[in-house]
Amino acid sequence: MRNLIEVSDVRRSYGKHKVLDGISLAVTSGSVYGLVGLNGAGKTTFLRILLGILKPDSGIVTVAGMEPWFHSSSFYSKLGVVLEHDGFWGNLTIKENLKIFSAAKQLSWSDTQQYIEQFWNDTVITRSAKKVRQLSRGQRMQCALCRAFLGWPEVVLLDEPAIALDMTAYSHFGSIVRHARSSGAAIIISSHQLDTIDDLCDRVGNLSDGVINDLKCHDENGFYKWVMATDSTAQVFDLLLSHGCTDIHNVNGRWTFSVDHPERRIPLIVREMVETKYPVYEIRQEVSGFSDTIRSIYHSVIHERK
Amino acid sequence: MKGIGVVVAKEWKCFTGSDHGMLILYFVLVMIWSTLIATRTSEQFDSGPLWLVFFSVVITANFSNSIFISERVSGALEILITSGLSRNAILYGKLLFILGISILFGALCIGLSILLGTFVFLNETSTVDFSAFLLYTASAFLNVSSSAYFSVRLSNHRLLHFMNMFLLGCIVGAFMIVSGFFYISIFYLIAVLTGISAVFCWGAQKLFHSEKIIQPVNV
Repeated sequence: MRNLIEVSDVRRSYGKHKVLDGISLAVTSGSVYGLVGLNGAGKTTFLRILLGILKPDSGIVTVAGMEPWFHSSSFYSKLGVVLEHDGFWGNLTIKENLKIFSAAKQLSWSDTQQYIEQFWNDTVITRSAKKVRQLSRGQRMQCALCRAFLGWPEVVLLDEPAIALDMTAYSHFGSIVRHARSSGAAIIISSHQLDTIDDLCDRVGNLSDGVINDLKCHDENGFYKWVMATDSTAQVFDLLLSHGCTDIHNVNGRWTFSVDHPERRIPLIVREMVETKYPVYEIRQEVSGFSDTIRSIYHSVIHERK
Repeated sequence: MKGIGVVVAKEWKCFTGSDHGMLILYFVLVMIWSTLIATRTSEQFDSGPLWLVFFSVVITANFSNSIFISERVSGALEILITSGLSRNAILYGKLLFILGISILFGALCIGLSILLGTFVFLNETSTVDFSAFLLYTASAFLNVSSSAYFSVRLSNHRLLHFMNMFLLGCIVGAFMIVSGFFYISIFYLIAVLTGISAVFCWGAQKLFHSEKIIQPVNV
């Protein structure tokens, strides 16, 4: 896994107002990073710096191996975005809009059609021949998501992607994000919808006072919940136990366990699994409880303000 | 070049997909203007060609307003920038489209005025000729390039039409004053307009590569 997004000590001000004050962050391929923060915290500014449409005052930004501000247009072929405005042309139909973006990304229309049929079948994108201006907000968001994942870019930046999505569309969006993650994309989701953060993100950072603090999701003893998909054998249980894992459960080869110091222990577990010829299909931190952590932070901020 | 083609094709689709009322309005304008030009009899500069110069303000600035400003307001420009097209391709694709469509309307207007002058108004002293067409093209070029520049430079987009009118009025006015004292060929005016347009293109290119391109528009 390599870092597809690397940010080091990035600062950005608007006049005298410091928005970003030394942000550092690394997002690896095949992971989803959730970005939360109160209104005006600087999330959109940060995303725009990653997109190369704002220049940082200082610091180093690397996205997909390139410096966004000094990029060539080929940089954007590795990037998918959903921003505050969907940016569709209301006079055109969904397909006409997608045709333009497909050409801009230098993808053939037949490839794009194949992508739509495979991944967006039975959604508004295939069902509707309406002009975009006649679509609802949620339907437009689905179109924006379809455009963002067009060509399966290496890096996807999503600003409030789940807003206005109904349950079916949200579930579909989740499956698309998981597919992109499994194909090695690095995804950043900036959202105020904590359920989305909980459902989809592997790591979460809170942008506050110009810096990002990674939110920890561990119990009172410092143990983190992890998930591993492998063959279900008793030896795996023993192996996990020997590495100090607790609360070990197995359902059809999907092992869940608690582990302390995962940054040290997980590579050792994976190495031993591979050496003993047990395939590891997936291993990741199980995220549950980010929303509780975020809520408690927000409540304390609101309390301080009062 | 391919990127420019994508932008031009996109603008054409947006234009043809727009309300039919707009198309009708443009054709009504062409009819009115060609009638005005056809009925003028003076051989002085301030007849046919001058009408064409201000026709370019109406047509070109109108297109520029919707193409440069509305995309910034709707956020489409930010998305377009992040779509894989170079900023130069976006700028020059838009410029080329507006210039092309303005020339199309201008040619239609000139053609109609010649037909009306010859067969309807029997006006034998029509002042519209090829140099008038060149003047129209040069003023359209000035309008589109200054629109590209001012659409980013000005935070209040309502000033765009005014700026175009003011700029062109100043240049043409200065030319008319000078030509009142000395004989100056109309080609000098065409050259001046083209030169200033090139400077605006350069300025617009610089602005399109700056952060100003995503600054909010005062609606």
